[in-house]
Amino acid sequence: MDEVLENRLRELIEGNSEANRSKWAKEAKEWTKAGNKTKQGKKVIGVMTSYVPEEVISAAGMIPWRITGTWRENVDRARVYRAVSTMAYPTHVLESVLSGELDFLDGIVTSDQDQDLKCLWDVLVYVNKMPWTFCLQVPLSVSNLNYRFYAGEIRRLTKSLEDYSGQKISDESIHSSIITYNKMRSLLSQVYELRKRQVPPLSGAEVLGITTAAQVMPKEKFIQELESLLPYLETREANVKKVQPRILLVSDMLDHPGYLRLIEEHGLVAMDDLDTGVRYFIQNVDTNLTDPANALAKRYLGRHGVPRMADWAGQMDQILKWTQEYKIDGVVFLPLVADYCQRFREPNLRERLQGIGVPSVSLEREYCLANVGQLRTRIGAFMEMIAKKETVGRR
Amino acid sequence: MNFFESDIITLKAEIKRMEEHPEPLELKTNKMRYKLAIKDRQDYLEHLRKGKPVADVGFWAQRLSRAMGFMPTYWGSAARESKNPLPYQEKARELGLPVDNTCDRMYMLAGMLEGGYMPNETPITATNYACLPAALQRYYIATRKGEDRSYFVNYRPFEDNEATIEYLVAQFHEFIEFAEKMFPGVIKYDEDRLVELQTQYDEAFRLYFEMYQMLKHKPAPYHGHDVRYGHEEPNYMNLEYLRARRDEIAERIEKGIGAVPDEQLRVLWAVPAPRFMDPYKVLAKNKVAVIWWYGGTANYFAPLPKTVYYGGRKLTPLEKEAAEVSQFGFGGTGAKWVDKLIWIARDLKVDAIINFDHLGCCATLGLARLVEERAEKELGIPTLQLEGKQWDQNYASEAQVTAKLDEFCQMLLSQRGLA
Repeated sequence: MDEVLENRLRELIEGNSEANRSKWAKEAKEWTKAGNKTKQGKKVIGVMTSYVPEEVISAAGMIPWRITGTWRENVDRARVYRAVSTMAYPTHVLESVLSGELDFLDGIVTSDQDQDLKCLWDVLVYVNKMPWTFCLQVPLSVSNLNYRFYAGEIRRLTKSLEDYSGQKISDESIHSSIITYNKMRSLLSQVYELRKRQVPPLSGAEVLGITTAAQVMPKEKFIQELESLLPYLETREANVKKVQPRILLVSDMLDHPGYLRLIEEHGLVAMDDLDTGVRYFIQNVDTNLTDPANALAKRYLGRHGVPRMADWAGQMDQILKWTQEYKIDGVVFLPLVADYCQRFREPNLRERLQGIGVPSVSLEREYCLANVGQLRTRIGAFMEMIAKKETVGRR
Repeated sequence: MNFFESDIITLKAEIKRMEEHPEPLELKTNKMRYKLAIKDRQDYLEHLRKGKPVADVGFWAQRLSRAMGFMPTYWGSAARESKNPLPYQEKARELGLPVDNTCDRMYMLAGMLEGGYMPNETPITATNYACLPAALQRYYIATRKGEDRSYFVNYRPFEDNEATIEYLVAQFHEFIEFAEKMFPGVIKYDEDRLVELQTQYDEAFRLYFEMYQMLKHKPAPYHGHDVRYGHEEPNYMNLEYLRARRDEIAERIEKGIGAVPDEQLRVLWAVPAPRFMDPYKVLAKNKVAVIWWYGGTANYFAPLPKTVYYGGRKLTPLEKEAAEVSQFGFGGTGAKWVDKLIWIARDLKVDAIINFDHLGCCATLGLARLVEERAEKELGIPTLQLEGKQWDQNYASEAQVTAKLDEFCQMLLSQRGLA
């Protein structure tokens, strides 16, 4: 093992840890330890959903920074505005906003990907703690009309960023940003290809660490790091207890690697269907399209998406395809409490998985790592069950 | 027996009850409403028997779908009106749907279909005009058992602006094309018919606005259920019924008849109410009248200042449909939801708000505190946040809800020196 490269890899994997996640953003905006700006560097815009075209924010000379909500269980400040039965991710984000942890942000952008996210935006507008907020309207399905509408939304976002920054965002700068992001996507795709190996170079928890680091680091820095580490990954073997059973993890708004480590006490998370994972980078933006807003709309709306999007048949087909490509023995659903999109699709998807002989289990979870004992027991039982299945190891 | 057949029996029983054991303060014209509802169910069943297409479109495209030759129905209403919802709930749970954390209506429908209580219809339309789970439920139904039935997906943006109008109209055109292709020779968009329906609805809304103004009278001539149930169902836009209702309410005012004996205070109720009990009777017992129900459709029936974002130009019929969709209460911005609620509360001079924190209502739960803070700040009135579900008593039982309402009423009365 190359110790230097291993240390750099560890640093990348820990990129979105509590200690590190805001490091690059604060550096970029020259935010001092005292929380004061010595001078204004780059603006940092918090991003809450994978339907925000980050390229536009980067093109504006700002840093897009995916918001990880507080991982503390206590969300008393947010509870004033958010009932217990509402979705936990927006609640934890609001807690972070109200506690001052996100004071370094210059704004927040989200989308109506989920209605509860839109309601959070309503609260952010009301409490007025952010100098700039924006909520994108995202169509429910893919069609030429919806691409045009969404491209219009992207132009609306662009205009709002221009008004906020006082600077024009040219098509050229967006195009340049697209090229950078496509590069990032290609590198992450290569990492995911390596996951197909019987003994991949990274555990599922480590991969989540890398994909979430991509969402908080300046892209150039992330690309530089990952590009230099890829040759090392070709030779590395994941440090996991077992490489079987191989699990595909399905969820949304999951950024705590602890959940994957629970599964990996008994096997390997070989693949995911996460907005913080594969869906963050799947499918490049077509650089042959001259209008960048159209190009971004095609990618962000047209790619394999969240279950809020109507193409459930296509989504389920893709997931089933991955079970074959990644030689999956079982699927673990970890829907966030009150994530209706995941929960409504789940019965149909589980039935289709059963149809091809892939067992699954669904365990509702909190946003922060909680109810560990209960989850550990249930995950353990599921993993034991599939480990005993005679199909394991045949592939 | 499916839901519509059983609902006809229930409605007939209700008419019989009104004839044999009338409640002194209920609106007599409710009998007309029940007859219209029976006709609606019968028309629907007849349509099905003849193999004619029906479309579940809700308020999204009710008039448009009629003008195309569909029998529109709103399954959400079926789920709401069900008198015995628990079997559907358990069916939905059996199917693996998120019963515990979701709005009752949003899984009930799937339970009703899968349990054979609701006949199927094509095409299925899925829209988020009210809320996202409404669309999710329809995706679920459409992709059930590997069947990817062709269905039409409509997206309603949350902003009220020219771009939204243009986009909704474009979607209406796509829906027309989709439906005419699916049912050639049977479904055909008739713009004259749409204009006729819009004219009827304009008059209906005008009558509703008259009845709204009558609520300012003290004591309130109608309250509770009669406020709540005036607002939905396509046949409630029947002009003969609405004129008779308006006249009956006017007569009550003339005779000094109040819906709540010795009315002391009046409240606005926001979002659905528990259906396993009659919360309005609890309030009436405390001399509190519920004079407005604020929800998705309710703000169509109040003379709210409409957002004019199309430059005041005369709208085409489809643009007018789009403008109506855009005004729907749920699913817009939070500011709009609260603005309109505050406007009505101020206009009707309510003494308090009861905000039903409906578990699973992703359209409104995240806005509950905004309602409370702005009501306090702008109107100086308190808000009761009442948690629960429409049918499931596991979250808040009848006893618990009653106790909370009683306590709130006593607090209000005491504050006003009326206890």
